[in-house]
Amino acid sequence: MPRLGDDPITEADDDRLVRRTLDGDRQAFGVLIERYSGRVIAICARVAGDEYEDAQDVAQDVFLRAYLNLEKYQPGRSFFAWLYRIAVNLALNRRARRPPAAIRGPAAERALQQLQDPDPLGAPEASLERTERTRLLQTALARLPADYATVLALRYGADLDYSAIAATLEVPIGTVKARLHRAKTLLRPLLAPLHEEGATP
Amino acid sequence: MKPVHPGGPGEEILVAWQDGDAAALLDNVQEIALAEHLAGCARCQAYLHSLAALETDLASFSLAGRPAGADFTRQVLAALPPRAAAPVPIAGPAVWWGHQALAAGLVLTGLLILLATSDVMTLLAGWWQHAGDGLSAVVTSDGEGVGNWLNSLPGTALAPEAYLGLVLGAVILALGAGAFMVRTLAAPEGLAA
Repeated sequence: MPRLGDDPITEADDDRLVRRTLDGDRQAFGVLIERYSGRVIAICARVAGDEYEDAQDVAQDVFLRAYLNLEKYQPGRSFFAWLYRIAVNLALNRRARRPPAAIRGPAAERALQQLQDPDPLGAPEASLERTERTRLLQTALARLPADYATVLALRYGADLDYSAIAATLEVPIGTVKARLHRAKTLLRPLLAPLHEEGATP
Repeated sequence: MKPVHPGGPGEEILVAWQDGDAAALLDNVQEIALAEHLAGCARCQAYLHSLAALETDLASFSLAGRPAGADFTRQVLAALPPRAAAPVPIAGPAVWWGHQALAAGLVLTGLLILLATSDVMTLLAGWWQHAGDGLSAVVTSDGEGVGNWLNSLPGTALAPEAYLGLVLGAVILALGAGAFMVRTLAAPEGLAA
């Protein structure tokens, strides 16, 4: 197995992999891709409101930009936060280019319709599959201001903890918490039809 | 901050409470008061219930555990352009010590040439003694006296080949010292200190 110094390449720390990549070792960059692709795709999907397959295309662009700008990364700082920041910025650009109601797919359109006009019989929630509930959530997220939608997407869509979100967005942890709390108060009424009594999926 | 109901706690306070972050917003007395209020308030209980449901929905929102497509890494790597020019890597400790040894060798060589070809120690001793004698004798307002003193310096009596050794030794010594300084400034992390 290829090695970097005494470490197997797959166990090398991010800074060492970055240095190897800058020296022309693409395999080292491949390890970084393997290490972070899951969360980068999740960020792209949840922040932009993209389908998973589309998010993979955006994530490819994220890694390409990271590769082209790798000299700008400062060793010793958090590589993942630097990478996630690129992902967030690209995803926010995509989100900004389309109106919230334009989230694609017939299921998303139905979910949006339910948001605007919940079934008076209270029955539609029972028929919603989990994926459709997720689409509904994504649609509601697209209606939140970008700052709030982003922290929710990072916390719940990409499973980042407070400190990772703070590093990614370059804000204090207290700001992350405050935005999350505010985001939930904004999101709650949008999803209220799903949470009324007897509406448990 | 919008209250959950008239006279009730703010919505964001209840969200923070639900998330376990209330301590950052409330002191101990306020937390106890809020807990007592929540225990007896149906509207706040309903609000907390809806937050719990929201949390359940959000928990199913994660995509982080979903692996990328099998070809994802290969596709990204295939799309990468070749790097224009790899930056000069920072030398490792072994290379750094090698350069330092080379610089030290230059310094020593320069010193040896100086000593061997121009009898530098005698020259320096002569200068030192002559400087003391001369400065005590020279009247600084007398330009002729200074000129006489300079002309009588020991170095002026050196043979031409001694000058060659002096210059060559000085140049090599300076090169070695310069290289030593530059490599010391470019020491790998953890080695300079």
